[in-house]
Amino acid sequence: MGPGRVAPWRRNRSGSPADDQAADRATDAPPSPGTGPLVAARGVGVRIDDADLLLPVTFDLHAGHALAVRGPNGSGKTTLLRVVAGLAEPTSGTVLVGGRPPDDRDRHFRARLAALVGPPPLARNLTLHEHLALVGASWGTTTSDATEHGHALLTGLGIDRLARRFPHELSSGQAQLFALALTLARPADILLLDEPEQRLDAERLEVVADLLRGTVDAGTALLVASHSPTFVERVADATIVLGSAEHVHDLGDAGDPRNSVRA
Amino acid sequence: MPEAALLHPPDPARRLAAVRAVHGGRGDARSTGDVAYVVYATVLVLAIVVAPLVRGLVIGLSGPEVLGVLTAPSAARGVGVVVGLLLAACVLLGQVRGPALTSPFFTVAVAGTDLPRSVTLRRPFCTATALLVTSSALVAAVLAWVLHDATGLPSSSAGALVLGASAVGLLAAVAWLLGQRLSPARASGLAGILAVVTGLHAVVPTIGILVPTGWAGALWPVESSIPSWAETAALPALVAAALLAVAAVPRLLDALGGVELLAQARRWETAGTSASAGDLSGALGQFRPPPRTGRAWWAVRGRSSVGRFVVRDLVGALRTPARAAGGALVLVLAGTLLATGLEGPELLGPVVAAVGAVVGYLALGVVADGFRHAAEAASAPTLYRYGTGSLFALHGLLPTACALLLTGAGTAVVAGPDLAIGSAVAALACFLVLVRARDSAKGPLPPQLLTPVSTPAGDASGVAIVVWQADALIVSALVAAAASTAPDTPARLLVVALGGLGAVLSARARLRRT
Repeated sequence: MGPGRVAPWRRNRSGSPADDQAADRATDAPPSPGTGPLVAARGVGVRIDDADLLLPVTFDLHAGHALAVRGPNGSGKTTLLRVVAGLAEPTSGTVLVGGRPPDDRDRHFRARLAALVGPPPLARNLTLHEHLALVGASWGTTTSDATEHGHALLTGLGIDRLARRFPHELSSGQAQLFALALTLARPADILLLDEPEQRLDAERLEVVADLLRGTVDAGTALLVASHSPTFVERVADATIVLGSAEHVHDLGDAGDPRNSVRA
Repeated sequence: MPEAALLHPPDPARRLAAVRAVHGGRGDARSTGDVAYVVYATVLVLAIVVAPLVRGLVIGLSGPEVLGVLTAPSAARGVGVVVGLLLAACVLLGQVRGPALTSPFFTVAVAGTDLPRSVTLRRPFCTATALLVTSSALVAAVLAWVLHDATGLPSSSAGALVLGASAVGLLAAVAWLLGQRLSPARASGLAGILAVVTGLHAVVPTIGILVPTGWAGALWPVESSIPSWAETAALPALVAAALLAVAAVPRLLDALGGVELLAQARRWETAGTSASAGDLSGALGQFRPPPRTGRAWWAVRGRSSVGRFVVRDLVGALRTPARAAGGALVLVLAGTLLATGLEGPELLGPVVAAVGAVVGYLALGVVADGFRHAAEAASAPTLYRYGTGSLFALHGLLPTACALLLTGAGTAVVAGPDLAIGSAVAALACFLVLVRARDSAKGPLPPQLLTPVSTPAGDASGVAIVVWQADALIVSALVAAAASTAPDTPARLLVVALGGLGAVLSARARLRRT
């Protein structure tokens, strides 16, 4: 398997890791993803005091689709991702992830959504490969499979030679690639990424874009904030532009005219 | 710059004076009013805090229990051991924060010039030495005061004790500088040699005649097994050793490396900035050594989560071997102190137990890195399958096992197979693990604590900040002290259980807010 072609590790609907299957069989199991949107946002906005952190925005995100979020600095890209990830509360509108409001205390929500919004938690005394194996193993797969998948991720991102390094021994670009690998080390139906192109050179940007596109093609839903037209071009099926009045699609009553969606 | 100035630069003292004059004239330099305030605050602190504290200390130490320890025949040997451990600790301290340290800017702008470092770093070294010598002499003076009041110690012996303590202070300052100069491996080796010599001295007192630790012990004015001629020669020998050591200071200062000086200066500046912003864990994190060994050990093993997390945390801790070994030894010491405190007399027992709890809490940090990681993971998007509580519980397995095992070993040294003491120490060990977990979940300093609190002695908001930052140490000490004063084992266990429950509830509340 060459760079950019890592088998995506989804919490697939028929063959999720054993523990997750058990969890899905539980009486409080979430609604089946079915054909409905995995993420449904209706007029979601965040306003603190008199400041708009995110103007109301409406969109659906389905399995196997990638939606890019674009807009100038301060337009609310990260805030939108934080709301969908359950890290921030919307002050207007609703957002549903897998049919439920985002809530970190809900283990089904935790199982369904992986996110890279800000620096991930790193253990200073584990090597990169061990990080990936531990995260993978924590989701119910065998240690050897998790180790193998971790190695495939490092290889796919072209950083397999760093496998035995500790996090403090990475450059900023390497740290960014490792953060992506760590987020992809766990199974998920929905992937949220905040500017994954940061600090990457053009070659690495293409590698990351191809890897993510492969993940989407395998059925994962991707919501990604980005400033890179090249990256968006390679990955996204549709784009939502925040804080802009141009190219407004029909958003019904809930969307703010300064936000727009481009198919 | 004229060529003549380059060929014949002014003498080092004038160059340094010129730099200090420029620095002194900067916009935020201390004005006369600032200096007057510092003097005012210092006088107030000395009069209101230090003087009553010293007087109270003298009265406390004059009690029959403490006096019995101070005047025991083995006290002289004990003084030698304390001095030996002090010297070893100073060597290790030099690796973290040497006495010849200045700000990063001055390290580059002054210590980085062609001037000898024995000149440019003389002032910070002398300041650090003065502090050490004064503290050492002050401790000796307090003890001499106690012995004078209680046993009629002659002034000459008291003076010799204080003078000897000053010499020990000088020796400690040079050991500190030596620790700053040496490589980590050599500094550890020297500290180890000093510890071994100290241990030998404790076991075979006659060795004391040959080493400064023994000379320091010989100055202790109580009946001992030390020959009288050795007592007479101890002070001159100690002073001569101190003077010889001081003679080596210029060479040691000149031999300090610029890279290490700058690294230490930057680390302390960053830590100071974090601490002043209330981020004590961030400040302490500056001094936690990053792992550099054991990267080939595979830390993710086992089918069960329990086994996997124990192995992962154990391998992680062993990747900083010196830190892990030091922490393990200190945990054993903490067990000894806790057991001694629980068995100890009315006044001394709670103090020793509190010290044991503080020492144990600090040592547990070596195996509690997992708690910090769990707290970080709690405030980030989900990475592991486990919820926050489960992640804390899994990362708590190794610290709990280490705390029980190592404090148990320390307890066995002083209490043997005493089940009552053993169970109380075990309960305290588990409690300390819970306090560690709670402290990891602490989060940033609440901004309301920064609100100024006006008092005649100035802004007292600093007190609240210090209490907030040190609350884990304070709680650990208080619960251990309370347990040692409880009438029986069930009462002790109840006190510790209530403390543990409080720690768990507090941690849960804090994690909910993240």
